[in-house]
Amino acid sequence: MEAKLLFDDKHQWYVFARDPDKPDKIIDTNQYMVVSGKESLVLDPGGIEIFSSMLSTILKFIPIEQVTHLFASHQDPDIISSLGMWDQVIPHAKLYTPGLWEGFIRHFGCENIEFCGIEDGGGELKIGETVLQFIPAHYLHSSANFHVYDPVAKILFSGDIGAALEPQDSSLFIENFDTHCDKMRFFHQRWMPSNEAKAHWLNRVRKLDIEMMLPQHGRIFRGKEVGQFMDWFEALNVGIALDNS
Amino acid sequence: MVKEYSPVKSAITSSQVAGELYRASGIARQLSLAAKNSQAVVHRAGSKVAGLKVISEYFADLALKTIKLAEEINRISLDISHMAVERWRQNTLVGHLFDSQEKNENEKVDQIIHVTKRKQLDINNRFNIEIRSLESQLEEIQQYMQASRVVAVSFRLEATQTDEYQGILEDMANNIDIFSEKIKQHVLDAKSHIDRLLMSNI
Ligand SMILES: [Fe+2]
Ligand SMILES: [Fe+2]
Repeated sequence: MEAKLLFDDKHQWYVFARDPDKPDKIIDTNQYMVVSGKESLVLDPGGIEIFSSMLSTILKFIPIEQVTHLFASHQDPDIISSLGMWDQVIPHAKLYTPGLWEGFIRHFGCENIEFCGIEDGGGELKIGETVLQFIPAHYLHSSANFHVYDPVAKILFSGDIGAALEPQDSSLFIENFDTHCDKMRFFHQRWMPSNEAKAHWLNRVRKLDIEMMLPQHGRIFRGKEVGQFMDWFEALNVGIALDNS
Repeated sequence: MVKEYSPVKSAITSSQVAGELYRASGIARQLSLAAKNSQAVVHRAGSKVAGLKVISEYFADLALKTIKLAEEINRISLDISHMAVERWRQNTLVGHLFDSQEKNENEKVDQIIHVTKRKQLDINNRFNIEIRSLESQLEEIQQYMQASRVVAVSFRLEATQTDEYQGILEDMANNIDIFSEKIKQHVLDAKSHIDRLLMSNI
């Protein structure tokens, strides 16, 4: 699994992606990790199929005792079906995830890890010396869904927003925004259900100072690509299955 | 009866070993760079340090072998960790199947248990073999590091016999020592992770 340091100052952001051992038919996912002092947060740790790659990749950078927190933006299997395994390797960790999904996510196995439900309005979490914000992104696509904003690193982890469907070996960064839109269009039109929710989210995140936007699938947005994405998304009509059925 | 180590601990251990060897192979690349530099110096110094030619070639070869071996061990430990997770999932499955049998005995389920247990046995055997071979490879890389310390000693010795290259050669010897020591430490850590697993009870 490829690992890259995205931000390195008093705390660090890593991306883990493009696992060559992943079975072909499961969607490729990007996992992220924030390390601050002796604590760290793994964002959308991924499905059970990539668990072993994730574990060994994380341990390249930090010892297992320092994997203290998990975050799951929503309840999907590509996000958190590995929970039952993490539950046994890091039993003292805490899981931050939408409180609304508790009864569902616990189906993946959560006997040891402490379940910390985030309320609809969002909230904050301190990892080491770093304060992260949970930004509500409900109905995009999941009915209870959060993004994570780091005001120091100016990074927004945007879950399924900004996702693209691409071959396994594609680059981690966008090279050409216009051609990249073709790989994002269907995903957003079909998986995102609500134009109203979209407008809500745009209004919220446009107020944030963002230098990097990290989606859970596809490529990372840098600099002006973040604004370009927001404009593109604003103009996009989502929820198209209603028109097609 | 073949010993079965906790699949959870096995998965963690092999991932830890992979992590140590990932760091070791990074240092091995630095070691290899030091080796290339030493060859360049020996080349420049020509006949003045004739005794060093053989040893610096040996060193360059050793550094390359170290990178290869460290990467190989890293790869094997990743395989082992996949295997451990697979065994873990099978164990979980068998546990659930037994529960189901307790509630409602069923012949088909019994067959599935049978098949899964055979797979479990097989993967457990493979795991035990692989983890032993990992140990011997760690041993081997340790020997490389010992050899590399000997190279450093030769550099120091040779350094005392030249004026012009004394500083460079001594620096190199120190570098080799530092890199070898670091690699050795990662290997020792990897070994102690394995020892802890092998001594553990389920
Ligand atoms: Fe999703
Ligand atoms: Fe997703």
